[in-house]
Amino acid sequence: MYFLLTTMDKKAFKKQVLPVKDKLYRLAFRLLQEVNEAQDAVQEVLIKLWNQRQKLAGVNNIEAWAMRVTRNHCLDRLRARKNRLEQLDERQHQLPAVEPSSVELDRQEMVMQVRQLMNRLPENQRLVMHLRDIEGYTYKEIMEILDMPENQVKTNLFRARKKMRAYLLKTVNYG
Amino acid sequence: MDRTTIIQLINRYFEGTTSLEEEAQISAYFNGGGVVEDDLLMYQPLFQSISLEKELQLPPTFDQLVLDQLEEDSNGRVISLKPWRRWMSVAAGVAVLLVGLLWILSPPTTTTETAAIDWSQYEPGTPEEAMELYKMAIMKVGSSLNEGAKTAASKVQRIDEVVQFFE
Repeated sequence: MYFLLTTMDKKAFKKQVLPVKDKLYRLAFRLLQEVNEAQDAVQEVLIKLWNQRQKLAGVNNIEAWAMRVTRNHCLDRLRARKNRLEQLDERQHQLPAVEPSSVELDRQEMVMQVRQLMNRLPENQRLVMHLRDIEGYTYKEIMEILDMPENQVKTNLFRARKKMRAYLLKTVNYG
Repeated sequence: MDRTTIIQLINRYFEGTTSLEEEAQISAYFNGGGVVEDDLLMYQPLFQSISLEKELQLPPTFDQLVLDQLEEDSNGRVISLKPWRRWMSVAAGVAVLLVGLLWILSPPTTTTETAAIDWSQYEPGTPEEAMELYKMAIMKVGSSLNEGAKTAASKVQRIDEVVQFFE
């Protein structure tokens, strides 16, 4: 979604910014992992965007910009509450131990476990996989949102998917 | 989609070399309701989870909540981030005002209430009992009168003693 704006009134805001709210929400939820906090964060981001609407004139891709603001805002929130995710190192992001009882999991439980595993990926891997697989962004858009070089985007995506595959294979092999 | 193609796509997906279109094909394979090969079933939870995540949405009332906040920003000033906090402060102010008004408008009251006494328990039940109570009351009054007379006599005697001393 590309827009070149000189001014933004409420109508334009409603048409151009509000439609991406669910994407902002999913990103906020991915980072904050709490429904109410994610909703609060998106509300704050939208108000922040509105208050800074004069700056939108120089923004080519409002959606990517809004996603970036959301990501930064959520990271600020995480730092503010000294979230444990900020403190975890790579070792703590190892795949969870798969118990033999996992073979008894039904499909729905497996889906929930996959979701939890995604939330436990290191921050950059989690964000890249989310933006690519959930939101369907191109590498270029992900680079813009995360302010990350293309090779890092691809590396993070590769590592995230590799971990997910290892988890799935391990689970099935125990069966 | 034939078996060879989907296996190749899945392998490339995990290597991070698939395009968005190819990733959409993989998603359709696992979420489309068709038959999934047995040896590929292990991947299905991942793509089902991704599909479910895409459905996550804000509540329908969210838009109006935000737009209401923008509505208040008619003068271009920076609006607050937490409307509920502002409403809470307004509600607190109104509550204080109401309490003050009630205090001012309420009529002055004096504490005139006394505990209810069950006088019936002191009333005589029979004429004989009434007579006994009457006698007790007379004796009490008489005793008080006698006490008063004794006190008066004592005072007079004391005055006489003082007068005699000065004479």
